[in-house]
Amino acid sequence: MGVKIKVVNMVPLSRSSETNDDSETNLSVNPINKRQIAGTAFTPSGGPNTLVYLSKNGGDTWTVNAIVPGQTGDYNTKFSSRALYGGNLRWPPFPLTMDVLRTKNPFIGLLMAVIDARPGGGGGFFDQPWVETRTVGKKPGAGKDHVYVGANDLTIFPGAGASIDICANGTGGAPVFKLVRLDARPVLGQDGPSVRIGIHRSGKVYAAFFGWRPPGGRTTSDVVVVRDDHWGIGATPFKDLLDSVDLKRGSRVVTGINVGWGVGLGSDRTGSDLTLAVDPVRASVVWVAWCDVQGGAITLHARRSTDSGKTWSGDLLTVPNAKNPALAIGTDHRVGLLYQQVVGTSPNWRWEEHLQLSRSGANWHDILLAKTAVKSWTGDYSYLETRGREFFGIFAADNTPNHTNFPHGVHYQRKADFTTHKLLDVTGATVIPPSIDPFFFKLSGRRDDDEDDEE
Amino acid sequence: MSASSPADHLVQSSLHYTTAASRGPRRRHRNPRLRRSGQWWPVDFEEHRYQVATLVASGPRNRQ
Repeated sequence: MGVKIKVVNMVPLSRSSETNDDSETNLSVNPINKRQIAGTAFTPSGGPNTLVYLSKNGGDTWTVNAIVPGQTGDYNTKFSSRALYGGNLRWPPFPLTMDVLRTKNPFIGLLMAVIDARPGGGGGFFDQPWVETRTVGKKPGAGKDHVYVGANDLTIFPGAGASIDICANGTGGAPVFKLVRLDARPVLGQDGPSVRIGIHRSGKVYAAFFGWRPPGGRTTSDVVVVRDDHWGIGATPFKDLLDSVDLKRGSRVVTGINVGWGVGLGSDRTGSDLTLAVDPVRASVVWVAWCDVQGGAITLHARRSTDSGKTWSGDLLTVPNAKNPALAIGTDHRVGLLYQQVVGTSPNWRWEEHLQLSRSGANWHDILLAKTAVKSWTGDYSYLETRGREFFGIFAADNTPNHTNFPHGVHYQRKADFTTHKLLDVTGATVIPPSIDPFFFKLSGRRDDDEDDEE
Repeated sequence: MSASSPADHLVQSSLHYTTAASRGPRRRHRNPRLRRSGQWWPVDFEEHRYQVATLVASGPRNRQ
């Protein structure tokens, strides 16, 4: 059986005239109906609310619904088995408020309900909300949606703001959220924006963040992983994993790194590239990837723990000039790492969108999904997830219609001429300039020689 | 004193200011002053950056 790859430009036909920077993408597949998929990107709606990309046919075609209340500073959405949840850094007014959102049906176009709100203040706000959720399968709590919204709480600046807003019953009438601080060590000013969360069906929940330490802060940062073995809903959440050296909460995967704040790569900023994934079968296996500066270059590192985060491997994959890592693991223990890498020299840089796959971490199968022009901002993250053995992902890239840019093929909904490599407006009569669009992809099947890579 | 830079005394966020996109092509990394400052914000973030900076606890170091 071979690998099957599908790549789709998500901009609907009706929005063919748009030339916005539809960047910083995220994705979620409904766990009980993988044909239902929701995606997010910074696509202006033209109205007071914010768009979500939606597919009912496994990503073959997409529509948009402006169902996120207000404008966004950062947002994403995630399906549980019972609802679609969202985290949105909403404005106006200022200071921004982090809304936690919920809808039972995103396809009908009604605004998502605000089930929790964390207002800004003290000069800051809840930066980069990142929602993850899971419907509990077994007692206790069977059928309840546990909702986790990672964010960096800048309202306590200067202070360690890496946090998760946690709810044990998201579908309840009046969901109660509890804000849990993750960082037990001193910071220089603050933590980094990214808080990434991995939920195992057993109730083991991991989270990773950048702890900005003295003396340099963002140039002397730790990558920290915390863990809770009971869904993070007890009296003292996320205290089940201690560092083997300083015995404080949170295992330090690496210390003293320069996260590359303000360094930049291609057309993009850098400085908070972080991802975490837990094996959906073996809860003790967890992967983390991040980017830092090595020899002046932004460099991606991927590492693994097989003992629930107590100890970590060295780099199992190192990629120079890469950003926006996104990890996911299939039920066959195959790990996928999505990232984008700059190749070539300025001003002829190209973004290469890679999906690397491995079972052991020793041998990697590199799939090039896209090779596109570096023109404008693609955003601070992309996303990858699995349903069973299938990988579903999203990335932002230049939308010039050229088949050579997509080695495994691509389908556009918006009007495009692949012969002349021109985009057309909705009338089909006017050529419009290229811009950044969100691209969905799905990978199923496996290489015939994948078994050679058994652990 | 620590070895922190002036920018460490400002809130550093990943905020994306979407009105920038609605105004047309972004002008990232082309503002010499922002490049020098090492800030994460592109020029289109200036308006919000100003609001954040004015809300940060008072003191000249917070104003860069």
